Amino acid sequence: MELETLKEVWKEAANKKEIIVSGREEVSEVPDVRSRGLVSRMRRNLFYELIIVLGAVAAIAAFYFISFGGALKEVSWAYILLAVSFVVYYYKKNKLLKDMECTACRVKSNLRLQLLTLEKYVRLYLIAGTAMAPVVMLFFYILFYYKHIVLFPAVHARDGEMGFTLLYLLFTSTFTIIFYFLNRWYVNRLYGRHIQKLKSLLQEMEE
Amino acid sequence: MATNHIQEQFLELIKENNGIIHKVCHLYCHALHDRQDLFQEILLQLWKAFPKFRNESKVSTWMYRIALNTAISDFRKQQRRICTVNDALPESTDLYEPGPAEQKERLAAFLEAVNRLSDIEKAIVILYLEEKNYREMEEILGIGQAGLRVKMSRIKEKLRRHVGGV
Repeated sequence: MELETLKEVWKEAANKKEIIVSGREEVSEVPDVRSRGLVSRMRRNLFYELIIVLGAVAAIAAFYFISFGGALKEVSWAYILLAVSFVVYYYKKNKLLKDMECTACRVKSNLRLQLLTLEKYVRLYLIAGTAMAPVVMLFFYILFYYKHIVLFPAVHARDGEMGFTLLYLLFTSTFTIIFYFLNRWYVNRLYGRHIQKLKSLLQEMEE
Repeated sequence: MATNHIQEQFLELIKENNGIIHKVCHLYCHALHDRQDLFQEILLQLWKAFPKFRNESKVSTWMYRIALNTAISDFRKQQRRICTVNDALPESTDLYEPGPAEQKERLAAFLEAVNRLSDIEKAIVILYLEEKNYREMEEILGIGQAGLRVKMSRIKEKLRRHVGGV
């Protein structure tokens, strides 16, 4: 069959009456339909994540405000601060997701936009996820210091405050490095294949 | 009231041009359920983009951009959409019922060959079958005209190898 002949078959298919009728019915329902596209689902999941985090933080903060006679209310404030940071993080991620699609743009531009934005998104995910480890460790260090909580009495007795701080720093660094690699593995699992596919499509278009 | 007016305008536009969406759906997936999913998603993307449509480009160009962008870039969905050629072809060839049995068989072979092409190549084939010239193809895909010519001859070669005589 010649490609030219196929063009005619192709045109006939477009003019089939029943296609137009079924299309009309579906069109009237469109404004009420939820998108099942990848970006829309990512935005919905991000919103659910925000709700869960805020709910959990509110519960934990309330617990530390009420319990132990309010002696650990600093923990509550730390969690509230964490929640504020998360809202900023959510805003940035949501903005990136909003900018990720331009369906009315040329296909190549849209794919390039998706790739660049997704790479930024992944970077933000990785930086924020990794930064959480030293921030949490620093918070507990300050808490222990001001509340005069001695975590490892043997180390304190042997090496003093400086010895304990160095040990804590070493532990924090190790924890952060492990956290970084875990995050990288997870982010790659989530978006790695998607990024590779975008790159290969763009490469094919540029060949 | 204004929303109803926009909805009516949109409805008219889709009524006039929905063959475009069906063709894209048929070429990117052949299983009925997945095709309906893709059709719905393309309609939704068109609806979202419709208020910003200013007639700066042809309606068909605008619709092809959105339909192809939706079909190509939703990879997770595509993984679900994978279906075997044998399962898919009866539904697809029914749509493009050309008449004589022999012609139908050739069409099935052609669709099977197209199914083996990459997503970008499928997009080029659709636009070629729609008799879009290279300038319009460039407008939709963003690939330079020289590149499109090279790709088109490669595609023809691939199809010729798979089907023979295309």
